[in-house]
Amino acid sequence: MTRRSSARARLGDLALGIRLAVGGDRTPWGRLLLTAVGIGLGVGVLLLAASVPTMKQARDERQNARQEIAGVLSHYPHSSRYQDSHDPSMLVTRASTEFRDQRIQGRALEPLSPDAPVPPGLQRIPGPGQMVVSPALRELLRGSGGELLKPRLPDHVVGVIDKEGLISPNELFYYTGTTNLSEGGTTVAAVYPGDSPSTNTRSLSGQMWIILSFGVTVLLVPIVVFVVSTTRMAEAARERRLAALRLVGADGKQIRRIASGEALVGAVFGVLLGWAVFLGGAQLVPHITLLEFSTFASDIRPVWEFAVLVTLGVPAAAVITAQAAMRRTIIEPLGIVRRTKPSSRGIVWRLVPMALGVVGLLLVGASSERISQLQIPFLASIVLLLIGVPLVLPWAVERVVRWSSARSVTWQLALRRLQLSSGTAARSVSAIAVVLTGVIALQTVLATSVATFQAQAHDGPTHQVATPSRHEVKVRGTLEHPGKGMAELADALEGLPSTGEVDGTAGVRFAVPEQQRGPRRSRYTGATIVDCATLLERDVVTRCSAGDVFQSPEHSRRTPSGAIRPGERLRATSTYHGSAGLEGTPGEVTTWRAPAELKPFEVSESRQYRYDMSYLLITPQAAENIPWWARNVELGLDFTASASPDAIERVRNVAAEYLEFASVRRISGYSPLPSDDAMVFRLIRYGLLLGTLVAFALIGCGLFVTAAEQIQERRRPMAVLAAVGARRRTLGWSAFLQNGVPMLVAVAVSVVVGLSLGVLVVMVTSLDNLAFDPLGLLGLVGIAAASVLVVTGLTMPALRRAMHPEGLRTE
Amino acid sequence: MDNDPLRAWRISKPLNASRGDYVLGVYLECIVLGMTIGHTLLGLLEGGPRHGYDLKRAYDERFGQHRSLPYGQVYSTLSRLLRDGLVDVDGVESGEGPERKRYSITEAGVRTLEEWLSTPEKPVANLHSTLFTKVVLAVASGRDAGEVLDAQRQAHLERMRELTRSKREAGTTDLLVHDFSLFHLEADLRWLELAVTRLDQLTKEIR
Amino acid sequence: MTTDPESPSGSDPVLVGSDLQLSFGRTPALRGAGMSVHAGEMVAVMGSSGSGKSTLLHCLAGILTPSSGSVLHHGREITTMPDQQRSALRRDEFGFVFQFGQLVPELTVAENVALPLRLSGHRHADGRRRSALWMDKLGVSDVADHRPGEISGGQGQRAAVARALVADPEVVFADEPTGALDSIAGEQVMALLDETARESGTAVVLVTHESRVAAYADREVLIRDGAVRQQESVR
Repeated sequence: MTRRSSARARLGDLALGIRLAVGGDRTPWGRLLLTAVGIGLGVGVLLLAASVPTMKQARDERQNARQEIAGVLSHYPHSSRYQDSHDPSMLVTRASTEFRDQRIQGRALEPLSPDAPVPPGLQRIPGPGQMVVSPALRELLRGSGGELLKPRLPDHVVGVIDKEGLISPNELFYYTGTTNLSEGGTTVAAVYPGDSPSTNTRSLSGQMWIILSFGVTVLLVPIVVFVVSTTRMAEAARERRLAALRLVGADGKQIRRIASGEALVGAVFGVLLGWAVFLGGAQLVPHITLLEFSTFASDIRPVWEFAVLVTLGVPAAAVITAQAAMRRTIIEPLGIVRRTKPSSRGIVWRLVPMALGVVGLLLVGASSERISQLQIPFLASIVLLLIGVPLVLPWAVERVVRWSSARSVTWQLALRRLQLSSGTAARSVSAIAVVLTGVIALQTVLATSVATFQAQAHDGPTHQVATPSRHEVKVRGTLEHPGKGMAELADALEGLPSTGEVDGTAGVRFAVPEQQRGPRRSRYTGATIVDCATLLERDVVTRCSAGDVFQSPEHSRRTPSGAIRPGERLRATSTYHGSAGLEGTPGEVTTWRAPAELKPFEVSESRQYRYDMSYLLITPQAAENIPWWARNVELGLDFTASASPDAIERVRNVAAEYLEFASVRRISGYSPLPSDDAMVFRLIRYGLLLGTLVAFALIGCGLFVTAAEQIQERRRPMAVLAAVGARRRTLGWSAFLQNGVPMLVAVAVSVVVGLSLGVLVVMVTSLDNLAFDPLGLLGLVGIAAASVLVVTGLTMPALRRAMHPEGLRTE
Repeated sequence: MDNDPLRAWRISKPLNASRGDYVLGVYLECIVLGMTIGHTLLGLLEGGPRHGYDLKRAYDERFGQHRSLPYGQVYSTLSRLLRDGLVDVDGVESGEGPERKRYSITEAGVRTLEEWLSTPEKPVANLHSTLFTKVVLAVASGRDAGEVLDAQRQAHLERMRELTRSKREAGTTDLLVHDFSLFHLEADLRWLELAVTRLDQLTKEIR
Repeated sequence: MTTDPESPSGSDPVLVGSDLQLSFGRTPALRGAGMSVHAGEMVAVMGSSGSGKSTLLHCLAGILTPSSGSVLHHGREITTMPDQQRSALRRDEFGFVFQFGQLVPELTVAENVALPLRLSGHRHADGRRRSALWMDKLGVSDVADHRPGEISGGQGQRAAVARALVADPEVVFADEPTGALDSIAGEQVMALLDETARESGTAVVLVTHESRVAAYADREVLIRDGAVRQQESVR
């Protein structure tokens, strides 16, 4: 008497599925646990990846909050609409220094009215001589190097910046109170009440965006594939189980329901575990610093749409794949029970996603719109292409093993086994294949980008090129006090225990009006104040007398308005002195008059000295009426052989006393600060590398589990073979081949598809200079090969156990 | 003692005997003929002296499943045993006829019995020669030997079914006997099936 | 090619297969075989390996669909039934014993025996009760809570018989039930199958190549090369 058509009966089928999943045949929970762990790891990684946008957003928000009190730089007239109608409530200026290769940044605040805005993270504005620091900076000051840093940051620490005032936990930042900003020149900004400066979220350039989104997609898809393939773990056993049920009278729909029940259990546990992994990972991540960036734990929250997608999607995907995999069970359960070879696979439908992906990419490339408008088709095409790989792989493995003939016993065992279960073998390497494909394509794109960047760098204007120098350390800055001139600074520096000779020159920055380019437009020219003795000594000129002024003809050649004419009036400005330009006037200005005669000199090739870079050389006598605040200094010094690494900090402290905005840098090994784009590029590369490692690690685990599962499956035949006299070595090598052949096919497919995908993306994004990364490719192939060895090696104990005669027991 | 128990059959039994008897007869003759009866009687006597009719009764009870032992055979066997010194006449009942003698086992008899019990039977693979002869003759004469074999097969199976049915109600001793027959019948069947598959080659050889 | 046997007791047959044809790829398995099964009888289907006897059984049970021919169950055609109906038939009217048990390793023996009932949607208590009853009859009650991997082959086959009978089926299909067992265990299984089937009036279609096993049947059907060669009529 059947009572089939009730919801209870349907639930009963699901319950049976759950019961089957939970009751393992050797160890209950064993297989379930393994599946759940695999899914859990994958889901955890996906959730962490989904937190990156929120991390960035939180960071940006805090950055913007800090920007709120950045104020308006006063030397741009009318830069704020509040300027005319209101008085500023606060003056702000920036300060920064370096300490042991770390940047320390700060703001000096001078409130002008009681309602001056308080910076985020602070309770009140620090008073003069007071300083509020970030927690990391406080540690630094308290720590072993503290005394070296203190002279530069002399203010008294009265508090710590709260979390909402910090961009990242390990940031070195401070606010300090001061009273002398109104004379601070044009670098002082004014904060007007009610003003909200526009937030500038820096957006990535098109190329950066492509690389980033491509990289992220390429790394996330394998994780998804991995999760889905984990749900199909032990599928052969499940097929047999359900085939037995089918014979006994379960109909097709029932089998599907039971399979769903089974799949759901593992998936649900896996998702729960995944959230646990995510939460655990969120505690770890703040301790990781990637290129100076770190995050707060509370920032690590996944984008909720993605979180929901993953939480609901993984069980759904598990159920769908389980049902799809039951096709053969429902149609020919007898075949499964008798372990016959499944019918051969078709290739046509497997190629569809790949074909669609290629077409999609070509369409995107042919379209005239910008890539950033076509985000979704671009990424969708890539996903389709990548997903095509695990679909094609089983067919490829099947064809390869069918076509190969066995020579030795080892090969024979491996090949026959693969012929019987090519599907399982292919599945185990499918996730790795997707990773390989993606990473190979990524390598191609990155290599091309690097080549393109370098080409661009050569074509375009040079960035700051490292100035070759005789000296080890260069000190640059503007003099701060009239009484403390360059000579005094040089003496002070030489007085330090670890410094040798100090060599210094002063310079001026002139503004030359250029009427051609428009009213109030000027060109800036650097001039060096140098005495005759030095000039003659260094063979710059052959004749020199006090009061001479020299001009480089090259200078005249390069400028549209020509050389500086005798008698011409040049303005020398200082951005660091004078009133803050609150009424829209620039800082202090002085005028210098070029003398009647301007003699020529040649700029030397070696460019060793600063005046080699300048176009005007002025003897001190001719520069007498250039005031101290208009001069900037550059001193070079060397350390003695016994100098400690911290010697440079002492130099910095001295320089901070004498100079405004002092910069002390080592020259040798100094590479210029990379541009923003290049910085981001580096960050992306590191991030992708990290992601690749994680993906590989995850998938390596998956591979290992599959291999172990295989051996478990084949317990009996192994025992039989061992009993019949097969050597352990033969079986071991056979197992190696069994893992190796699918991996080989996977690598071949990955290389082909990966390179093609890379080329396609390059074509689509119209990067030039297609370049490949052959070393990286070899590295990947090597990793794949090594992983096969490692996995086979790790499964050796299980193999040994399987060969034990215990496995011969008929029951 | 004969080493060809079937000789009697080959001469005396016509080839178209009814199937059931034919098969049955073959087996029981194997059991019954030869030394076995003598040893059996010795074994029956070991427990104590018995009269002739007593012996026959005991034998039939235990071993005479489908056929009882003829008196003549009992007494001829007894006289042989007597002649060989394995039994003794213990006493004589009053009355007519040899039924009244009481027999008892001698020392020599005990020893012979012991030996017989502890010596394994020579595993003789009985050549199912009647059937074999039939097959060969059929092939030689151009008849369908397959039919002969098939018919025999069916007979065997029928018998096995009967025996299995009997097993349902049987006690343990009977079970053993039935199983014995079944196993042997099965062995025969196997040979029959094999023979069927080799008919073609046999035909080639003979003709 | 004969298709219809003589009816043993004049009753209508429960299952009639006629002129069944089926090939696996290019290998023909059945060439017009057919037989009938009557209520309560045990029929032995005999033949050597590859003769098609298992295939015939699978067709009769509705597991395989022949390319031509018909299988009538109480007059209703099975071969054209939709899958759901056929599965219901197998669940409720038929029972199965295979050579290698096919007990589900993840379930206990008791759960395995109750499986057909569970698939039919019977209540758990119901299923447990009947499962216990049949396990008792087949003498496997002591291993009820063990898993199939922990019991002997004979116990497993007896459990399979219990499972086959738990739903009170009309026909039990047994495909080489003693094939993997030694003769003692095999005897046990066959004796029990015989007894219990007879007791509940269940017909048994018994595929075997062993004559001692076939001897339990009321009649035999001989298959060779996919066709029924001869049938034995029942006394």
